[in-house]
Amino acid sequence: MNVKILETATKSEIKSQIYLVTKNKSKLPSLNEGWRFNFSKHSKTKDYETYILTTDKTPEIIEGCLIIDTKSPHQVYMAFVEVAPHNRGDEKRYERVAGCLIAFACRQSFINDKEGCLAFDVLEEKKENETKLMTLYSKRYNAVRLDTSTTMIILPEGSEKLINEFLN
Amino acid sequence: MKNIEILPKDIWNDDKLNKINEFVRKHSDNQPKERKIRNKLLSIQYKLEDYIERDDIKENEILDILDFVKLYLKVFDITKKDLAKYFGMRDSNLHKYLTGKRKLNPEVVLKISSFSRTKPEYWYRVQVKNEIVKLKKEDRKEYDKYDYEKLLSI
Repeated sequence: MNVKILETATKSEIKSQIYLVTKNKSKLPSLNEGWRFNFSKHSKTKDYETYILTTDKTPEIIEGCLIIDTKSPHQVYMAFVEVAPHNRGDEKRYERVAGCLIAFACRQSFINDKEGCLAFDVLEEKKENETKLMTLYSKRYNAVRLDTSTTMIILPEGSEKLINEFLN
Repeated sequence: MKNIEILPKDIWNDDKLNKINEFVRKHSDNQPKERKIRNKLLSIQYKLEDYIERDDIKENEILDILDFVKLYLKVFDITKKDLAKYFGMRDSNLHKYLTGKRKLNPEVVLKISSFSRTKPEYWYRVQVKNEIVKLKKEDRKEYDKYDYEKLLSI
């Protein structure tokens, strides 16, 4: 689907696409390219759907990657989401990549009749980083924490807001 | 620094899935009726948007306006006949518009759009998309001669 991300340097909107990867999964990002997750490997898991975000200007460069499982009975599970190493930190090339991918996962939840519910886990080596990340997901992406676990869920209202903010 | 990847199997198990299912189910049951309807309407709207955006639809994958309207009828638990009456039309007349046998007009489009809370242009776009898909590829080649470059080279 068509989305728009922001070029950090110019603050201009960049036309981009999120699309399902069905071929050449081996060419997806892996750990030795500076990514935290091995998308190349995990994309081959049964029931996983892999999506990538690329700009229209440079379709050969992956800006972000998402793997979801739509087979859970009541919600879509976001197994992996990550922005490219060059889109992290103060020097990031593009903004809104993660937001677009998470909102896209929420939209897939509505489409799959899961009422927009999106579950995912937040795990970091250091507990303090985990808490920081959970706070970010809660504030920025409307996620709620399940008890005291590492699992967070975006519920229908929050999902709809994200879709309106990032995809419309 | 060496990357240590966390795998779903490290965190995912049946107990956790059951907890999430229970939480989501409870939340779903406690939603107001309006919200439940909204969730279903959004699901149809996004399917409709994806259909319009797809440019690889084959003839055997064509969905009529009726196919989408049927999804709305299911949500509201009404029949096409009920909808026709609501729109102040005969069922047979509405059927022709919804199956592409009759071209949409602004009045019908605005009624469908208001009923489904979707943009009016969506319905025109479904109609146009289906017409173009039905026009076989070979037939479409007939129109290549109208390319402006050919005009400039005359």
